[in-house]
Amino acid sequence: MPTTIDGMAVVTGGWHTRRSARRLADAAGRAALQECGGGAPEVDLLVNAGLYHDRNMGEPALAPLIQEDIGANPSDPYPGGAGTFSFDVANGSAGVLSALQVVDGFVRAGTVATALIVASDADPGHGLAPGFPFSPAGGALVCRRRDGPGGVGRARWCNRPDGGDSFRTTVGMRSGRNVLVVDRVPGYADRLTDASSVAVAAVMEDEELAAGDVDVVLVSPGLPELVTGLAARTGIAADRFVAAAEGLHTVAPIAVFDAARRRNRIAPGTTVLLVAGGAGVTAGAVVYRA
Amino acid sequence: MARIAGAGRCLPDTHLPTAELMKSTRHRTGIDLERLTGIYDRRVSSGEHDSLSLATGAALDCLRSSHRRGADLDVVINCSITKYRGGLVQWLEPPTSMAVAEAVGATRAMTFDVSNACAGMLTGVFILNNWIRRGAIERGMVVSGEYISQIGRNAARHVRNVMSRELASLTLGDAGAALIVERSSADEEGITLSGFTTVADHSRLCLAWPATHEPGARMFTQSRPLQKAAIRSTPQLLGEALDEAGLKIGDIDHVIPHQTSARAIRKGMAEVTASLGGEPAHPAVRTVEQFGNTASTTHTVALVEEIQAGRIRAGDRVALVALASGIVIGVVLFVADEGLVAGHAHHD
Repeated sequence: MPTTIDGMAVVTGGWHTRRSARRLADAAGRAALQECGGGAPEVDLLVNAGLYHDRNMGEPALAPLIQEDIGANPSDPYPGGAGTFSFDVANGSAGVLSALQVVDGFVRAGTVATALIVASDADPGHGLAPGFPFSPAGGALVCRRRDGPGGVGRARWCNRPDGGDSFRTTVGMRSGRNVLVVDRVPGYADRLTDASSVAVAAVMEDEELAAGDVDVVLVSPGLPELVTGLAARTGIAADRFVAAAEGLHTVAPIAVFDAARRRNRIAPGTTVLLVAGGAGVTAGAVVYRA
Repeated sequence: MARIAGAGRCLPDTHLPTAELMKSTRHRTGIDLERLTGIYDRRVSSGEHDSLSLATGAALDCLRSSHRRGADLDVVINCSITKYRGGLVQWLEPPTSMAVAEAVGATRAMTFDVSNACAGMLTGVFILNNWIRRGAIERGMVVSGEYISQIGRNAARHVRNVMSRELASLTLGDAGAALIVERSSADEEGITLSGFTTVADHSRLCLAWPATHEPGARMFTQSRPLQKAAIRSTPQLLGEALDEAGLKIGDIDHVIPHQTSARAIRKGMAEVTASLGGEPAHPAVRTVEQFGNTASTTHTVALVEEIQAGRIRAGDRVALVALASGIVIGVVLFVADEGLVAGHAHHD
């Protein structure tokens, strides 16, 4: 049984949340569950695809803290109670796509019925990321197991390893402090375009889709050159593309989905092509049938 | 069905005996760490290894022992807590998995990282098992490199007495580990089941973040509450997993728990025995005394140790039991087959 996306939410940072990826993910998770009439106790699996943690925390994963905050079965297990399993997936601005694929594996294997994917970007605070370049935002997807066709298809990926030359985020000593630094160089968009177009071609071949069969292409990160390049290489009409807002990072694949939905670009039966790329360089593509 | 087709590890050559580490503490602590934990030694990188090189070394060992090639892998998932490259620089992106895949020639593999504290590798096995069972992939690798002993070096400057929340940091050692999970034939049992839960009420009992003004990281653990919570929840989860598999604890040949301390493992197993009314065929595997707590790699480091020593043999039923910050409790039940064991036969 395939995975369908039943709920979705994107939140932006306010004074209370702009320096806390955890609080942004909490707010997005709660809003997404509320939107589809769900509650935290139904969440069997919680996957966080955000990279930036408050104070650059490395352990535990952020997902258990979010699980506790939103009240998704946080207590000791009781006999017969399945509880909630939480962990983080990291794949830069393509992490949500990896998380969707991981969730689909759990759903199709019958291991879980409801999963919550969250991602958020925020300055870790305490002066630990001078010049942090991304806008504070959080996003969440509620994924459920559903009978019938449609839902999340098989993802295809393309890696073009460059050792992080074009994009990297590190935490290391600078001027006597351990700080987070994001380095991006010109040319990153070209490399992403190359990897993304290979992934898109593979998934269109798998799904036996012609360029005209794709109703909407959701592209992240929101780099204008990436959209232009993909339209040229794939032959899909430029007006079918929706790009994530610039300045969003791990949350971009959720934000672009939400933006397309709000513009009424996604209706039952719509064939959606999700494309997400990230540092490495890596890019993935998957078809979602609404 | 899926099977564990290969296991590999990479241990640094340098030994750091507990006595030597405790001599390096800034304060006169009066702590007999070896008596408290049973740990008398650990392997540490003296600069020649970082997280990436340990992971890559283990991945190559795993491929060699399983007679597989990097090009055979559909997926590479790195699951380490530490992601140090080029010294103590933690790389959040690109994912470490991509660098490991490139180093071992896994050119067509999909790559991403998983973070789930010390349960990371077993979480990765759970993910691969799901994909293989539904036919999405043929074969994947779960890999981790933990250059984590630097947390102990930092703790040695701060620990004052046995009540310190950085005491557990002194138990850490470095290691790389890798497992290959692949589709099995219908007549092989392979991975019987995997099951995990996160008891998030206890999510803040063990926290680690980069040190502010020192290289590397610091970790703060409330060891007793963590151990209590684990002892309360583990027997129940293990019991439910065994019920689901139609097995009893006596059907398990080897339990490999997460390696925190000899005392914690003894207490935990006593609770399992009392709760489940029996014990596994062999005493719980303990490698913590010689390798310390190597974070997400402990189960694989111990598995390879036991296979090489001839204690785990083909046909033995093994339970890998996860306990990790989060807190995460989980189990992977599998049968060690001839292919897995034979790969390490030259060490007998």
